[in-house]
Amino acid sequence: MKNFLISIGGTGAKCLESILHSCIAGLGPEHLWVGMVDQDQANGNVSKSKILLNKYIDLRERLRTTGKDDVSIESDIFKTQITVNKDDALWLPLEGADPKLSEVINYALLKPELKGLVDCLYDTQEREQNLSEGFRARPNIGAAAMLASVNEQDESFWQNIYSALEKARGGEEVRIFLISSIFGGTGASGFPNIARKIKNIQNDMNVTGNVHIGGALLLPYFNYQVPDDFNEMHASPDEFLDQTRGALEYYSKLFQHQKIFDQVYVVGWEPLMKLDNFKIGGNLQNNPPLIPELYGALGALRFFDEENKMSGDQQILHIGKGEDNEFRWSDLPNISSKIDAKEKIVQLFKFAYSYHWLFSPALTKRTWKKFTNENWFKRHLDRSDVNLGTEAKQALVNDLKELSIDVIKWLSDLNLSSERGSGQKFNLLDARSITNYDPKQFSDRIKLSENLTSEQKKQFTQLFYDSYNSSLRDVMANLSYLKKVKEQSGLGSFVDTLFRSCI
Amino acid sequence: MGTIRTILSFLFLIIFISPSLAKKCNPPSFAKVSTINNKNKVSDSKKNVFVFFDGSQSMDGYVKNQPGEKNIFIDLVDDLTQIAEIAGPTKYHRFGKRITPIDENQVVQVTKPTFYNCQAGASDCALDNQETRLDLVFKAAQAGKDSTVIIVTDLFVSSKHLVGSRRATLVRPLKDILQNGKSIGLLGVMSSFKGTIYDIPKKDGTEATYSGAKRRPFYVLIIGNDKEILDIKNKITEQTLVDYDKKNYKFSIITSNLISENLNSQKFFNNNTFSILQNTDLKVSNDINLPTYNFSISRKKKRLKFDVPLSKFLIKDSNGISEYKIVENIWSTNDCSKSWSKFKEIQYSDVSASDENLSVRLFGTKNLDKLFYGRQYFAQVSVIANKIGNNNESVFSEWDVEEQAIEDFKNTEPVDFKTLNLKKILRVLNSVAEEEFKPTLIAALNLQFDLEK
Amino acid sequence: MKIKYLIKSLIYPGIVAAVFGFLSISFSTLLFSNPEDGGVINFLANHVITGEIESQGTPFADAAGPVCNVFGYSVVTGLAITLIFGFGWVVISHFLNVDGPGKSKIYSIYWIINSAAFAGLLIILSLFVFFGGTTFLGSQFITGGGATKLTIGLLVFYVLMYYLIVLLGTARHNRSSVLLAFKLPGNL
Repeated sequence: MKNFLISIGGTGAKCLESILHSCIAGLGPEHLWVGMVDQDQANGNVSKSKILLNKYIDLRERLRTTGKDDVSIESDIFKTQITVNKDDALWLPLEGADPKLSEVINYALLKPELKGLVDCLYDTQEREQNLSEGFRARPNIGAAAMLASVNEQDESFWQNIYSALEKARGGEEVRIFLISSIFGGTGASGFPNIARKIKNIQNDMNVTGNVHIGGALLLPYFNYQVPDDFNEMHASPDEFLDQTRGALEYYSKLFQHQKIFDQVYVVGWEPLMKLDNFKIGGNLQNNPPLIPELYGALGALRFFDEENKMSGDQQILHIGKGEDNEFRWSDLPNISSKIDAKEKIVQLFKFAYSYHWLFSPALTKRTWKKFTNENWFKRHLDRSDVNLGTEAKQALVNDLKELSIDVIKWLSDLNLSSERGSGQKFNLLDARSITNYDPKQFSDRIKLSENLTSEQKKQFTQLFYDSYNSSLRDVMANLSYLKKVKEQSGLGSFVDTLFRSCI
Repeated sequence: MGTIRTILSFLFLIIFISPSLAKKCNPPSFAKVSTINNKNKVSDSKKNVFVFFDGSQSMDGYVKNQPGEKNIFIDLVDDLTQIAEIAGPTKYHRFGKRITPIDENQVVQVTKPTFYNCQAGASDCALDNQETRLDLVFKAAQAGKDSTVIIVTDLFVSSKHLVGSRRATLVRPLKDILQNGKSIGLLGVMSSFKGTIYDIPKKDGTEATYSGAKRRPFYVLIIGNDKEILDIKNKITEQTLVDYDKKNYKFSIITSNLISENLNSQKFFNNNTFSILQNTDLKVSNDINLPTYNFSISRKKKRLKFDVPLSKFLIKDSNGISEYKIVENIWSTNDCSKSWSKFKEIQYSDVSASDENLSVRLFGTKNLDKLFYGRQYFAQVSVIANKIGNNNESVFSEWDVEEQAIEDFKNTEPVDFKTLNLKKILRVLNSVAEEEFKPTLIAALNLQFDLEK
Repeated sequence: MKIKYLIKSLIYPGIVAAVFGFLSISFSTLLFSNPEDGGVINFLANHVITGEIESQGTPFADAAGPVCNVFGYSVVTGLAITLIFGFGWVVISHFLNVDGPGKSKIYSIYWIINSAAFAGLLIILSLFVFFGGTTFLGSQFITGGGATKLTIGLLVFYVLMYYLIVLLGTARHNRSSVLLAFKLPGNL
């Protein structure tokens, strides 16, 4: 089975972040191609997700190289093989330094009657808006830009879609999933148009079966305060609900007249989560991860799961939180009957915690020799293909540390920002015991403690609410006792066993 | 099953870890000690008394008065005749080179200087009052087996009479005397003396005389049984010496039968003998007067000992015992059905004597620590007088002067003249007594006890 | 703490305990059966039992029996002490809070205390039983030199047993707390 994920817009990028973390935890499918669509390539969330995507691919390659550092095929960590477009994972519908709609549609060259039509649909501001930082929650602009973009067959991004559909014609099942917000600019415009485009290509190629398209639509789940004196065109949260209503009416009709999607996952949240950061776009638009994005991510992973059989009908699935004012782990859905999302995410976090605070300080060039007599070291690192003194191994050790920090920050931020923004109690983890949270620091909301005190370490057993809490001692014990996989090599044995130890 | 039984037995032993053979086993068989006094009894009935007065020339100094000095000799001789008569029919003699009987009328003369002048022919006198043949007197005493002999003499005996064959002639009758159960009492009395002391040996082999003495001891030897000797001595001290300074007279009994009566015969041992034994079951074997103590005792207990005054068994003023001996036989068993195991040659108990008391410590300084608890013991202990002492030498030492020192002593012109070779004479007497002495039982007892931890 | 790790840890020490325990129990059974001859009796006669029994005419059997009993008691008690401290440590090692690299070494103090208490108790047992104690009848028949030899023998045997138990049974993640245990292969 071939799986393709397309994240559209900033919300899509944020959902992608959650998907990537979930794939590290082993929640994803065997193979996944990932593409990102956003006009605002400098967008903070898009950049963050892109960096994470590259990290994932790089680390996975380094940790699954037979004979070097290999966690082995049995391991769940970095289970999903993610590939991207060879040129760039991100596709910009409108290339160029400062693209404008007027240039895209060659407004100046249009006949007067067409010009008049354009004038009815778009005002001057909209026509002349610099679109390098996205479509400013104007799906009408986005749609036009998407449709007017150059012949997709020349785009390497679209070539992947074409080759996917070829494989479908060859008999292989292909699942394509789009994820975006229903409101806003790129997402709102991209979601239906890209889906329809794919469907058209499928029809053009006479691919009648083996292709399943799914999507996750995020209804408005956050808002923010726009300064009174801000006059530039921007995404106005007041308009989100209206836009959503309009979009929902559109999709309702679309689903009636044309079966494009096999499954659509609709995600909502009430009340809207307040965000502190208002930025029109660019790298300063760096919103915190929020729970609805995780919902969207889990929806995508569910779509890709083999247990998920397509019925042939168009399925609309929706999810939101429960009625009480508390969010728990039980409010998260499972991917399948075999995969418990909560368990794997918690496992990943514990792995990141253990690795970052306990083991990476013991594996540096200066320190590793002190631990060579300890059992965990002897079992996993005292081997001929592991020489922690080399640059390559130290680089891997450091990169894993970076990844661990990302994971800790992601889930902590997700919990704390969701709680802060919604005013509801989020009982996923006690993030404050190990981090410092400053929501005003938009680029660095979460700061991790340098070292953990013994009190903090004791708190490990109470870190996760509503969950079996093993202790760090249990992690150490598991690391010493869990059976090793024969095929593992290099640092792979240690990484995989540590991951398995964190259940 | 056997293993289980063994383990249970072991547990039983653990719980009841202080095994005590409460039941007393039958004593082991052993040769019983005889506690009967074997002292040769000299008849207590009145017997003949023979008094011998030393007739040597120098004895006349005792009978000459001098102002300022008490002439106790005369008083004693006077009293002695009475005392002797009381003791039995008395016959008197004079001795020098030979023994000459004297009748009662002549006894009065003993206190006169003329007694000491020779009456016979010059050649006889030359020797008769210039020799003191004590050996003849002892021989006479030997002959009179049941008689009491009293000798009054200055005991001035030269060394040549105390060596070789002359010594032998002195010793032979003494041996017989002591063997027959008799003792020799020696009463020395310092008296006034105004006369010449003859035959003082000089270093060059010649002899000198000395007339400068004002006082000089004389001696009363009493040969008989202990009772008689003490009787006579007591009478002398009560009558003649009653007001006399005690420094001026000394007394000792030389005998080979120092033990008057052993403690068993005296029934010394009773329930209170050993202070640490409470509620002791004391059994006394009636036939042989041998006590057996039955008790249980802890190893931690202090000494098992008893003390007894020397006067309880030792003749007063005798030479004393220089060496005591303990003979002990110990058996042990841990099961009455098994036979007793006898200890090999070991000595646990010890005995020591002070001037007044005899202390016997059973099981010595280690007490009972050396023994293994959990067993029953049977100890047969005998305390024996093993060797005679020589107390009299120290009693009379101040009146002794040796032959090699007498010339120098004389040259000091002493007022109180000492007796030549007094110590040597005493040694002769003591050696005879020692030869005739046989180790004598002082006390014997048995102990049968369970030793607890 | 996973019970299955603890159970896994008990396998090798269990084998050690079985071997040493078998030897102990066999030997103590022999002792309690009051043997009359053989190597044990010869050893006791020549090295342990005091010569005083000879001078006191005490039959050898009167001493040998109680000495064998007290020796047997010490063997059994020594075995019990070793099992308690050895397996006690094995269990404890799984509960100690080794919550990160380098933490295990800190718990060497606990191991030292456990071992010292174990050795101390063995020595106290010997003092109580062999050196002139009055609880056991046989103690009085044992010389100072003999008591020393018996003590050394007991110590050597049971210290070895204890060490093998803790060496092989200590929780893997806590091995650095036990002397030389780090030399064991990581998967043992």
